[in-house]
Amino acid sequence: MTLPASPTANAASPFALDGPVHHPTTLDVVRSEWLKLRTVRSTFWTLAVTVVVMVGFSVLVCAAQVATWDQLTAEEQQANPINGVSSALAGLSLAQLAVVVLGVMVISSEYSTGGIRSTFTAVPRRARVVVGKAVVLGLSTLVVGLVASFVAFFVGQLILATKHFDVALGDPDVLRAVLGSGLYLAACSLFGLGIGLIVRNTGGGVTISVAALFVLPPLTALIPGTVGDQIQKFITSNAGQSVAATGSAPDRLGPWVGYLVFTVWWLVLIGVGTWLVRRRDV
Amino acid sequence: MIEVEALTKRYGSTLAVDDLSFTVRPGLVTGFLGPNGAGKSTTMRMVVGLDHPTSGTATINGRPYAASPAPLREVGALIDAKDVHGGRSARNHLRAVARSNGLPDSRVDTVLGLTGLDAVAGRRIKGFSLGMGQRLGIATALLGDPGVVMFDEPVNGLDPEGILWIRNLLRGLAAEGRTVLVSSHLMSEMAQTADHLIVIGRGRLLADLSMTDFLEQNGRTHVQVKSPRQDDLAPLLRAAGGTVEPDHDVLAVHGLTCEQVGDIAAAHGLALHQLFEQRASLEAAFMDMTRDSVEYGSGSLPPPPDSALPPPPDSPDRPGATEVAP
Repeated sequence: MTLPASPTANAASPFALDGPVHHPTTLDVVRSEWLKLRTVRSTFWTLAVTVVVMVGFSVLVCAAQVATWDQLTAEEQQANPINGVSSALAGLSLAQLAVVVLGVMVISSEYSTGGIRSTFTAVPRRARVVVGKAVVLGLSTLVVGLVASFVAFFVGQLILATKHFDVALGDPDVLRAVLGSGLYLAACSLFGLGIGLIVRNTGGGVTISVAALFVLPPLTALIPGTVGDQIQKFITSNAGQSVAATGSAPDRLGPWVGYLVFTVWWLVLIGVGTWLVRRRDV
Repeated sequence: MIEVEALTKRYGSTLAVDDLSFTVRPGLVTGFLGPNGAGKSTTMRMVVGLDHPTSGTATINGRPYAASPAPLREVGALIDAKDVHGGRSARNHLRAVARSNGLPDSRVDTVLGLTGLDAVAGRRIKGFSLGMGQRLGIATALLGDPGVVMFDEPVNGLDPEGILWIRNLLRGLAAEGRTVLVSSHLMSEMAQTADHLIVIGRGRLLADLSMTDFLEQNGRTHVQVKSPRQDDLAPLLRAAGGTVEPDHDVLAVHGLTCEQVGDIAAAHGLALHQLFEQRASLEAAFMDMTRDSVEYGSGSLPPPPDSALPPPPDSPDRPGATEVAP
C-alpha cells in the first residue's frame, strides 16, 4: 500500500510537504482528540463542576452530621450511624451528571456544529474516532474523578474528625471505595459518550443520560418481587456505584461485580453507537 | 484521479444523484457545474465517504477514500466551511486536523501563511467572516499537501480579491499536477477558471467536455445590425454568405463580421443606426443546458435570451435534508 509520490515532490510548490508519507494510526487520532478535548470550554466547566460538587457535598454533609449528632437520641444514633466514606462521597450522584454531560457533548457538539464532517473527512475510519474520543475522555475523567474523590474524602474526614467519626484509607474497603468513586465517574463519562453517539444531540443525550442514571434507578426499587430486586441491582448507576460504597447491603451487587455490570452497560452503548455512526451519513 | 461510477443516492423518494459517472483527471481544473440542488454537494460528500451511496462507487486513486492509508495526503476537501467547532481557535482547529493524520504542527503555520490567516489564527472561529471561514476551509484542505483537491463552492462569500486569489490558487494547484475538482452554480465563474467541465442537473450528467469545446459550441459571437431599411439589407447579407434572423427591429447576423456588414451597407448606400458584435452569454448557454433540470424552477417564464438571470433562489443542495446551522 504505497501512495503515489506527492505531485509536488519536484515542483516548487509554496507548501510542498517533504519526507516519507506517514500512515496515520489510532494513536494519531488519540493525540488529535486530546487537543480537541482541552480546547473547548465545556470540558473545563464540566470538570470544574465535578470537583466542586464532590468536595462541596462532602463539606456540607459531613458538617451537617457533625453539627446535629449531639441532638439525636441514642436510638437515632444507633439507627443511623455515620459512615465516613458515604458522607465524604455524597456528591457522587450529582457529580456523575456533570461527567455524563461532558461525555455526551464530546460527540454531540461535533454534530451540532458540523465539526463532525471535518473530523470524518480527516479520519474516514470512523471507529478510530470513537476509540480516540473514548480514550481521552475516559482518562481525563478518571484523573479528575480520582482527584475530586480523594480531596472530597480527606476534607470530609477532617470535618468528621472533630467528633472522631473519621475513617482512614487503611480501614477495610475504604481505599477501594474512594478509588471506585473515581473509576465510576470515568465510566459515567463513557456512558454519556455512548448515548451521545446514538442520539447525536446534546439536549436529547443529556436528558436520556440523566433519566438513565439519576431518575430511573430509584424508581426500580418500586418494582415488586424478586424480578424487581434484580432489576434494581443491575440498573445503571445502582450497579456502578456499588464500587464506591463500603460495607455490604442486601440490595446491592458486590463492588467489582457491580462495576463490571456498569462497564457492560457503557460498552454496549458505545458499541451500538459506533455501529450507527459508521452506517449513518453525516 | 477521482472516478465516479454509476453513483446513485436516494433520500426517501428524492433521487439526489442518479447513475452519475465521470472521471476527474490530474493537471486540470475541472469545474463541477449545476444549478442549486443538482446533487453537486451530495456527490462530493460521497467521494470523501461522508455519505454512503445507495449504489455505485466513488474512488480516489483507485480505491474508496475510507481505505486510504493516509487520507489527508491523498485528498484535501472543502465541503462546507461552516463544518467546524466554532469554539476553537483557527490554529487549534488546524492542529487537531493535522495531528489526526500525524502531520507536523509546522504544516499549520504553512497553510495559515498560505491563506493569509496568520493574524487571526488565535481567534475563535465563531467570530470569523464568511470569507475568513472559507480560507480556513481551504487551509484545512491543503494541510496534507494532497494530490487531489475538491472544493465545494469555494468563492461563496468572498470579495473580488478573494475570488481572484482562489482562481489563482486553483490554477496553480492544477499546474503542479494535482487533480482539482471545484463546484459552482455560476458559469461565469467557471469560464475563467476551469479547463474541463462536468455539468449535472437533477443528479444526472448533462455534459462532460473541455472548456474549449464548451466555448466553441456556446460562446459564438454574432453581429447585431439595425437599419431603417432592414428589408433591403437582409437579402444582401444573405447573398454575402451570412445567416440572418430578424430579431424585433434588429437583424442578428451569423457568419459575417462587423466590418463586412458595414461595408456591404455602405456599398449599397443603406444607412445603419446600430452595428455591434454580440457575444453569447455563457450563463445563458449553461441555463439552456440545465433548464429542464432545475430543481427549483422559477415558474413557467422562460429566461430572456442573453441576459444573466440571478440563480434560482438559494436552497439546500441536498433536498429533503435540513442543513445544520452552526
